Amino acid sequence: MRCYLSTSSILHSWFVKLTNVTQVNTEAGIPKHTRKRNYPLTYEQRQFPKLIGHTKTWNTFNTSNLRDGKRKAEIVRDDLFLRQFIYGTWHSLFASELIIKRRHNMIILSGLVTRTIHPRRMYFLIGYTEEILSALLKTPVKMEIQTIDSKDDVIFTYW
Amino acid sequence: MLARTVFNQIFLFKPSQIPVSALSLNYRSITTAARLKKQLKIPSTPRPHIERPAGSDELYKRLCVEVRGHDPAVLESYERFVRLVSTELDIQPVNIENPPFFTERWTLLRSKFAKKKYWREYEIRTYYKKFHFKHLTGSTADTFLEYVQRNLPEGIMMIVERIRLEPFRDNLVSPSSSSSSTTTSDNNSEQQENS
Repeated sequence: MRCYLSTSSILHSWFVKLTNVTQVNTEAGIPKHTRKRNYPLTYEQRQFPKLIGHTKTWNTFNTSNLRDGKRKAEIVRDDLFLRQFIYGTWHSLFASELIIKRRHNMIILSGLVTRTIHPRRMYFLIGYTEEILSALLKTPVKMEIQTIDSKDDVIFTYW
Repeated sequence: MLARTVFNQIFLFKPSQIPVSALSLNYRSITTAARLKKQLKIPSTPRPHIERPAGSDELYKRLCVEVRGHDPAVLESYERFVRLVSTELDIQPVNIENPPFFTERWTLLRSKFAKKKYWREYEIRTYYKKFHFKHLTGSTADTFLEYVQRNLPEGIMMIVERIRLEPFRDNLVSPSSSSSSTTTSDNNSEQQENS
């Protein structure tokens, strides 16, 4: 995706100090307005991180962060691996973030997928990811995805 | 600003705001059942095998199902589900308790570099709900727990505490029925012959 925020390594060096607004006044997860106001945002991207818990929920559901929750680090590691795996296996097919739910020892992956490939190939992808991930993570992995026509269907506003 | 040492965290902040790691340095996460076991100092000896007549069921005096989650709305819908299940299985909950939620607070720097004057407060909330049941048989409790646990939503943690009724052992004799009160081995054998 096109990125309108430039990150420079000389932002906080001892001999050069940048003062341009787009590089200094940045905050994680909040994009800056573009001049033409045509940068598409999904509903999830428009709800900035401070609204998590109010109009936005998390993308993973597990009990590791509750009081007396176990396996915090392992769950985070598995989540990062799952996101990277799905991003690489389903070539630009996911239109939303991957949602990871953990029930008992099962991992259930859901998200919105565009219908650009033939359904037979999609069934193969579902079976392949379930088999490979179950063998790698040693837990039953299931995919429950929903399909949409194209990525224009998830655009909420233009920023 | 004082240094954020462990002791300062305990003395400066309210008990509910102290992070768990600052309070207990020996153990980090401990379940409610394990915490109670430590408090009551129950020794970790194996459960003694007591003969029970064939075909009889275990009896539970009390069953407490504690459910924890990040989202109170999910816990409320789970409470409605548990009420339906308990009316179907004919076991009415004695009490459904809403203990106060627990927050774990982190105060972190707002900026990547320097700017010690500006911090940011984050908090992680755990909401509780407790279902109390009384006088259940083993098979009823097992069925109820099985069904309720199979339908536990993601992100919800459950802790079950059960108090079981055990039969009194034969060699335990009440003091009123024994003849002498000394505790030597000879007198003990005499007591057994008398009673």
